[in-house]
Amino acid sequence: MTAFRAFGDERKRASLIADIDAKGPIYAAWLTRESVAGDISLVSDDYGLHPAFARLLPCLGAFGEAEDARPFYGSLFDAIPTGADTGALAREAVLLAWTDPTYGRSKIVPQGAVREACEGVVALVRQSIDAPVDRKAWRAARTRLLASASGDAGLEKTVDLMMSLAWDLDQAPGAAQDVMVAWTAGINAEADASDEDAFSLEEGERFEIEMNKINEEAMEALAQSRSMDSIGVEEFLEVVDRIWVADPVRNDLRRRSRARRERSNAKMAVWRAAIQKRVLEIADRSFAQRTDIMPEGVPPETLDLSGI
Amino acid sequence: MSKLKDVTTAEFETEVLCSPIPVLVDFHAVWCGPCKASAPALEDAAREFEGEIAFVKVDVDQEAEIAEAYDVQGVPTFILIKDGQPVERFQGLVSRGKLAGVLEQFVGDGK
Repeated sequence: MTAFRAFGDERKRASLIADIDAKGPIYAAWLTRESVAGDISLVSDDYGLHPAFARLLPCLGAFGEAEDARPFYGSLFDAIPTGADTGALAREAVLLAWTDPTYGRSKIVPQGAVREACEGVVALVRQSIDAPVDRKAWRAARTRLLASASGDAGLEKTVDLMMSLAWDLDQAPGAAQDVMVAWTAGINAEADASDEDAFSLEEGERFEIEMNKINEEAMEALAQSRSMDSIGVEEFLEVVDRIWVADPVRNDLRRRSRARRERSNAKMAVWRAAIQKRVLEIADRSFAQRTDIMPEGVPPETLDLSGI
Repeated sequence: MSKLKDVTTAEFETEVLCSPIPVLVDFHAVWCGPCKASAPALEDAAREFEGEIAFVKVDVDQEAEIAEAYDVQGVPTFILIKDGQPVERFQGLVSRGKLAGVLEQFVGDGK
């Protein structure tokens, strides 16, 4: 079994916080770029953070799209003692997707076979906080979940989330990110659906058709005077904007869509703040109880504990 | 960088069509962001299903003939081939949950 020990020393912790501060909005920083490219090993190796925990960081900060999450990162890193194993924190954080009293998916899955299968997955994640769980047990939990959900289209998104939760985070740390992405998508869909000015099915389809048509029209107009490669994003958006504004009827669809997106983003920000708060609470609670924290000065790289 | 093997047109028959176990073919392109983002999930799934399902990649720009033969219109496109025949097909960024949901139907009791 391999463990990651956070930071190694105080200097490393300060350097991680400073690094994030210096790079500005997280959207432009290495956390996002590396995680999208699929390689977050830099964060794990240099700062001793469990790969699953490292992958949660961009998700918890909304990939920088909605806000500056630096104060949250600072508080979170401050709550993690030097030398702590952040694997358990990652597992507890992903469990929120099921257990959170306000936003957890347990709120929307009715009693029955699917719920029982979901609870089976949750039990395995809980078990994995303290001891390794056999690969066969994860597979069996997924198989049970799939069988129980067969044909239930209404729970498709939640089942996808729970299927992502049913992985050993030591072997597949990216599953933590899958869970958060699925949870974000579910919350976002609910925010859109409950909007005061939600599009009807017909309006949604019409908006998408108009948007695609206008994008094509703009690209064709710009491509008449230059090569496709030389067209900049800003000038493309400028032309797109002109075409929308020229037709008040279809521009009204865009206005409504933008207003709805702003309202949904506000709801997502409330959700994210709640989850960030809960993750900080978990960190404070769990690390206050831990006694196996290593002293300062231990190198942050992975330690092979297989002989223990 | 994905560790899965890129197969060429010349290798496709041996590696995929004649494989004794199902093969998930990832039709990708080097310029495709969602293809890169899907790579870690594919590698995890490849480890999980080792010996049960094989995983290979096909670069649609380099191996246009195969992509055309399977009517690949966008990337990433994933096609599961069993006994030389496509049995499942899906497109876009994939999660481990989604991959497991599809692949577990073709292993163990679901074979």
